Amino acid sequence: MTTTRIAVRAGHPRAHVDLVVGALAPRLVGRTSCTAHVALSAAGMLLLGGDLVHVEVDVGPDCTLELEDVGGMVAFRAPRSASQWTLDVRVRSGGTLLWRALPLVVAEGARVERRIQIHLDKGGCAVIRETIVLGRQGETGGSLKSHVSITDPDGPVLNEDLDVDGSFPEPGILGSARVLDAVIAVGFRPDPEPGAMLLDQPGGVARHLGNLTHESPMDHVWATWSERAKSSAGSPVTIAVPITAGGLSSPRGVDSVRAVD
Amino acid sequence: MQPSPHTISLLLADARLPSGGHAQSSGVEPALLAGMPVADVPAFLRARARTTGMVDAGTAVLARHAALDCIPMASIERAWAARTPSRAIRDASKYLGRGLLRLAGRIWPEVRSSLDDLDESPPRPLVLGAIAAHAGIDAESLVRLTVYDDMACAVAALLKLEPGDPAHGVAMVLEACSSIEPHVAAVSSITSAHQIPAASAPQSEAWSEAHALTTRRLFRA
Repeated sequence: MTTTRIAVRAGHPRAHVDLVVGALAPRLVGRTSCTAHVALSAAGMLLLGGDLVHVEVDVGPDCTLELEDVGGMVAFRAPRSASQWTLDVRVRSGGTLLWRALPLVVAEGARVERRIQIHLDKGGCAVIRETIVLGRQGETGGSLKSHVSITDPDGPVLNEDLDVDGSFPEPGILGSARVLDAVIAVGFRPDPEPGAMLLDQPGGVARHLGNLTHESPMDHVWATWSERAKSSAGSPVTIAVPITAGGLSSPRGVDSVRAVD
Repeated sequence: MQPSPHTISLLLADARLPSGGHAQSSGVEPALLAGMPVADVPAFLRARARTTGMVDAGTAVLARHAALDCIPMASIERAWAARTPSRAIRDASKYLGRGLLRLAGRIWPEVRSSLDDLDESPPRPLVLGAIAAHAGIDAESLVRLTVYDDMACAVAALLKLEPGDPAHGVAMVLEACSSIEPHVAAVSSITSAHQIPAASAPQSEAWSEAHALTTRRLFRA
C-alpha cells in the first residue's frame, strides 16, 4: 500500500507544505503563510480490484487546506477482489479542511470499502463534499461499504456506515437513487439549508438522493458552508499558481515532494 | 414478590404501555408521505431493523451495562447522537424516552438515578437499557425488545395509515425481527461505545426531516 500524504504548517513567508505521492498525486496550486490549495489526481489507473489507496491529511494549527479532486474516480468491475480506499485526517487546533471531492463511481461488479476518519482538535473544522454514484450510465452499480468516523477531543461527532449494493436497492437506504451527493460540515454550526440535518454536536449533513449528479443542489450548499468555514477561519486569499496548458503546473515551490514506491 | 424479567419484557413490548409509543410510526408515515409504495413496507422495515434498529439496540445494551456498573451515561448518549444525524429522529427518540422514563420512574425509581447525568428526555434506547438493568432483563432479550417495539409501532401505524389485513402486519413484524437474528449475539455483547453499530439510512433520514416540517401527519415521526 502506498500512502498519499498532504500536510500543511504555517510558515513565513509561505506555509510549509509536505506532499507525498502515493496512489494519488497531490499538486500544489497555491499557498499563503497559513493556507494551501492542493489538487489531487490519480497517479495511475484507479480503482481496480485489490487496490489499496491510503491518504493521510494533516492540517496544521490555524491553517486552511483546500483539497480539490482533478477528476472523479471509477471503481472498476472486480467481483472477486474488493478495493479499499482509506482517508485519515487530522485537523489541528484552529485548522480548517475543505475537500471538494468529485464523484466516486462504483461500476457494476465493483466492490469498494471506503473508510474515512477525521479527528478535529479544539477549534478545528472541516467541510467535505462526497458524491457516490452506483454504476456508470445504464449499469445497476456495484457494492460499497463506507465508514465515516469524525471525532473531536470530547468524543464522536458523526459515525455513519453505509452498506449499499446497486443490485439490491433498499427502500429507506438509497431507494432507487443511484446518486448520493453530500456535504458534511463539522466543527462549526453551518447555516441551515433546506433538508439539511443539523448534528447534535456542531456540524451538519446535507444530502441529495437522485439519479443524475447535475440535478443535485449540493454545489450551492458546498459554496455556502465552505465559505462560512473559511470566513470563520479568517484565512487570507490564496494566491494561485498558474495552470499550464497541459494541466496543473509542476509542484514548484513545494517544500518537499516525495515519490514513494 | 418481584415480577419476572420475562414479564417485564412483555410489558415493555406491549403497545398498550402508556409511554407514548402510539404517537410513533417508526418512520413509516414519513416514508409513505414521501411517496414510498405500501408494497415496499416489508423491505423498508427490514432495512430499518438493520440500521436504526441496530444502532438503538447497541446503545441500549451499553446503557444496560452502564446502569449495572453505575457508570455515567453521557458518553453513550453522545455516541448514539453521532449515529443519529437527523434531528427529527433524535427528537422523536427523546420524546419516547421521556414518556418511558416517566413511567419507569414510578415503577423502578432507581432507573431515574441511572440516567441522572442526562436531561429529562433521554433517548429511548438509554431508558430501555436502564430499565433492563434494574428489571433483570438480559442483553439478548433487550436487543430483540428494542427492535420488536420499533417494528410493532411501525405496523400499528401502517394499519391506521393504509388499512389492510392485520395478520399481514403481524407477518411483517415477525419477518423484520427475524432478519436481525444473525446480529443479535454480536450486538448483545457490546461493551464499549465504538462498537455500537452505525449503519445509516440516508433516505429514511431525509424523509423524517421533511415529515417533521409538515402539518399533514398523524404521527410524530
